[in-house]
Amino acid sequence: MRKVRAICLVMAMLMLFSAILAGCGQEKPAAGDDNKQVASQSPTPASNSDNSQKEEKIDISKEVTLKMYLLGDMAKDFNLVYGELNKMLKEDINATVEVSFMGWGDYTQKYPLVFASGDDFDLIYTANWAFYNSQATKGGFLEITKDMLKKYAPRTYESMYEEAWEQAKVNGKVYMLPMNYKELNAYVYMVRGDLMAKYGISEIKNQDDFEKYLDAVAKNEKHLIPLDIGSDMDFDTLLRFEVLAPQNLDYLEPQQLNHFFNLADKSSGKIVNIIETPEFLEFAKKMKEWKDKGYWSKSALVNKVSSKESFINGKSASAIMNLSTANGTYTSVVASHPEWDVKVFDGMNGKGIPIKPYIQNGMGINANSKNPERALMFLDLVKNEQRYADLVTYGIKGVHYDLTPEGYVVPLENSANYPIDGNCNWGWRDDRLFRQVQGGIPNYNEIRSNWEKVALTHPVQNFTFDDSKVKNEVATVTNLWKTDFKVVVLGFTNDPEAEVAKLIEKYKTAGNDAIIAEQQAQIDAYLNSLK
Amino acid sequence: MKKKNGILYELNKNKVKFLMIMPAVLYFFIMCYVPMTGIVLAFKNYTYTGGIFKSPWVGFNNFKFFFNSGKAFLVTKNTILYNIAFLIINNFLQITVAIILSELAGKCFKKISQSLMFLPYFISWVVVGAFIYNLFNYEFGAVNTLLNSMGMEPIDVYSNPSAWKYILVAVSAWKWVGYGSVLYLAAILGIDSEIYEAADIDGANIFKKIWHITLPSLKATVIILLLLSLGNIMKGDFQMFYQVVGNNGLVLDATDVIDTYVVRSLMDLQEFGMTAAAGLYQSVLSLFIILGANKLIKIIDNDYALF
Repeated sequence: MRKVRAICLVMAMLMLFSAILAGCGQEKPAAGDDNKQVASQSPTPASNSDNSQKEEKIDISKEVTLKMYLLGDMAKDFNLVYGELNKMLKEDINATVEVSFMGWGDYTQKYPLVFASGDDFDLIYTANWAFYNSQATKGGFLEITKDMLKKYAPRTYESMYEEAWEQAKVNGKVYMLPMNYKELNAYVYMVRGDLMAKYGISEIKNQDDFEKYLDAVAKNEKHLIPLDIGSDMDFDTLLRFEVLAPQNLDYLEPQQLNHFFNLADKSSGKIVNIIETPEFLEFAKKMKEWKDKGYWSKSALVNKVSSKESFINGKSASAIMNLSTANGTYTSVVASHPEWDVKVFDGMNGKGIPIKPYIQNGMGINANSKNPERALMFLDLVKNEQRYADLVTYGIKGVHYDLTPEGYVVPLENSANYPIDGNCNWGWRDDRLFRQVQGGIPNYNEIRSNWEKVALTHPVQNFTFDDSKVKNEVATVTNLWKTDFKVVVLGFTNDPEAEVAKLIEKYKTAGNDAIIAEQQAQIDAYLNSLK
Repeated sequence: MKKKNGILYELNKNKVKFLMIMPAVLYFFIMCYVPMTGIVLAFKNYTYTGGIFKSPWVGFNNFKFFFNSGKAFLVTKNTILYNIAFLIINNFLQITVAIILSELAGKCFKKISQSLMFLPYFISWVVVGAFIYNLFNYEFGAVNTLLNSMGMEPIDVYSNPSAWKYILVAVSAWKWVGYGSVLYLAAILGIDSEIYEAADIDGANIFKKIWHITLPSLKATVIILLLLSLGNIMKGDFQMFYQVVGNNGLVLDATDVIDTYVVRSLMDLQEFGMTAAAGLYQSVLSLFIILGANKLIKIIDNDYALF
């Protein structure tokens, strides 16, 4: 009560401030430009990035500190690595970066606040799932133009995938530099080989094998939770395997609306309301059975830890995550618990594997940033120079990783203190600079190439929903996703049939049909505009 | 010549007093009245570029999410009932504890017990939430471990809505009794000791003294504290409900209050207008409740009314 009141108060005050400052904020960068061109005779420190200074010299004589927000939790050696990075940056562009992290637990609260507060940070991680659209339409990001790229980030201008640039457009304008990397959005099981051997399970090829594994653990390993799902992060992963993938369905963003489209049906983009399908009912029944058998905790609804964290901490026997997360996790778990004999299995059965949109990861520049030029120059370096990309992705050479002659990354003992590709460096990932890890998942290439053969894209992936006409309905439906839907998906039902019927009814009362109608109309218009 | 009743005359005459009240007035003006302009957001579609004043008007649109969910009545009812329960139970316990403490003879025991009761006030709700989770977790919780070791069936608190009513009331009492009893203790210490001495001479026992002297003297304090807390009756103690219950869909019908409902619905949407609308709804209802209560007290006993 007190906190809410205090927050309301602070927010109201801050909004007042931002209202007053809104005007100044957007003019500043331009004004800064002029100053710099005038004062550009002053000698610049020796610089390796000559490309960026081809046409007219960009004045970097003034040292700046770039404030950057990243998502996730700070790794132990993060400051060590970024200390190195800052030495290099100081030399190249006379700038240093100062990073603050927003933890997975509360970034949804903090992220909009740093914009609302009128903070003058420079760079922030953003993505289609991390507020890109909502903050862009509210005017939180600085618009990035191709002219700016030509001048301050010429190498990025050259190397960027054109589709990526197109995908990043919101109302025709671009507010982020998306990653330059093709990523498959598909999931794997991570299980313990020692337990598999103990209970005679040789391989996990499908959900039935996985069930056998969970069953064996539930019956025999009383101190372990077979699969510790339930947190808001991953309560729906089993839905993905059981219902979505087999039908080639994928989430329409935003995820909490719980609407889906068919990846294989490229022409229509019809919204699928999954809870009304018979498959969902079957799933609800199965989940009740699994819950009753104790495959996850009876307190799963209030769980706040992801299945991955729980697995790493040795509290549970399996976890579900996407392949690249699994690759990083595998390395660190093998180092800390070699006796577990961790194994990773493909969970997709060759269906419903989407190529992620490029805007799944990206970096945005704050509209209030005082140094947008330097921010772009920084991004140009990490996106295009191998030594920068290596440092922020893998850590310090000789401390956290080493390279084989073929260019594979070999994680060293300290790798756990700076997990490979696990430090929110995803916003500037680039296909040309990304290295394969030696000692990652042994069957990584096998899984990835299997997926690449059947991976699908759909134009609707880049569609962004303008919810301004149905905001009220979106609010109530969001609430249902976190409460009633979650209850059914995790199997906390007595009579699945009746409760699924009740769930459908609740979604109807909340105005879901109005959202579907609005969203469908927008999708149709969007698809038509592409023709 | 200044007018006798003019404001300038008044200012001039009492300038020292006005100066003394100035900090308080300024504080409330800056911290309470200026931010109140933010209320207009409840009727606007907020954008960063437009700010508070230039964003477009949307009428009562922002209020709809609250009412079209079918949950408005439930969460309003829960909020009011929980707060009434907290109010009655906490005040009763606080008064009881204050009286017992004031009658206790051993100084050392008195201080220790008072400190121990005060301690929960300093424990953050996040930590309390962790306590509760570790108590009631089905597989590893302290309660079930105890029940198991005694050969009894484990209990599943997290899917039992009715249990949470008692848990929440108990947790609230645990947290606030020590803090509230200090206020009452201060009021009791302020009672003229001669009255007690006179009662002693008349041969009154300890219960008579409490019944005929202490309780009547506390009446004014009780009523003022009651009126003050009535102002917050529409506001669920967000931290408590959010941290102790969590996002548990199974028990929400019994535990969902306005604040938690609003946070859950709007967390991903980031609509300042709609949050402001929910806040305004609470404030307006609170205003009516406090005006009504004040009126009622005025009718019963004019001396105790706030205004």
